[in-house]
Amino acid sequence: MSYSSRREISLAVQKMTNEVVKGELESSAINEELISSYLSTSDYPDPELLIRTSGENRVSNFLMWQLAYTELYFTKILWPDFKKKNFYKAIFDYQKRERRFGKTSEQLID
Amino acid sequence: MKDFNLDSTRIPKHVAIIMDGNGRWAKKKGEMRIFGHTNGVGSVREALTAAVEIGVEYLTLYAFSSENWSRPKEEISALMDLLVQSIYNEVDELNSKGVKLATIGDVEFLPKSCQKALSEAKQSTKNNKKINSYSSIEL
Repeated sequence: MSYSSRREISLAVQKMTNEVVKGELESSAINEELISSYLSTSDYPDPELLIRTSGENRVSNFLMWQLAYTELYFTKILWPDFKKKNFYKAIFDYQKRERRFGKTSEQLID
Repeated sequence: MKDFNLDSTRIPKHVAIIMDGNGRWAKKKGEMRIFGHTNGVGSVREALTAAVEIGVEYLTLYAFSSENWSRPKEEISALMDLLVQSIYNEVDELNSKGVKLATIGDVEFLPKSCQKALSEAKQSTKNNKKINSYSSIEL
């Protein structure tokens, strides 16, 4: 519950390295998918949307690997003032954006 | 929800939230920081209810404070008490919403009372499937 994204990634690297040393894992098998499976979020899909309140525009060592393609939404509202309507507003804002995953608009239509 | 005309076919599966600003909220009201945290619990309920209502499947909550490093011991202890109390208060609500509670990060650094409350809440909600709410409290 004391979460640090860099620590989470470090632990995953440690675990993979140990398995390589023991001959249980081929280093050539290490790819993005495998790394994701060594993280504490392995049971969950990556977030499509990250909301941060209070006007701070940083990720602060939270889900660094998992946020690669995540839409970021920052609001000045302080957390105790955050209500359902603020959540919907963030979803609405997200829906207005086009998520391209590095592709062009044309490629997305295909 | 009706105010925003959301497209029900494009609801994100997984939303993550960095919940920041409890301390500043309390300060503006001339109160202790813990007063902000106590009121922040209501916002967790709001976000979770909204997420369940529109069909978000995973909600990850990260309790972050920009002033983490200078957080006094008394505040941490009060925050832990609040966490234990909130978990016990909310378990029925989580079950009624069909929410499964999970955690990421290192639970073993938390006081024993928190670990116990968390593991009981996880056990109690483990068969729920509607939404997974997994939280992380950064200290």
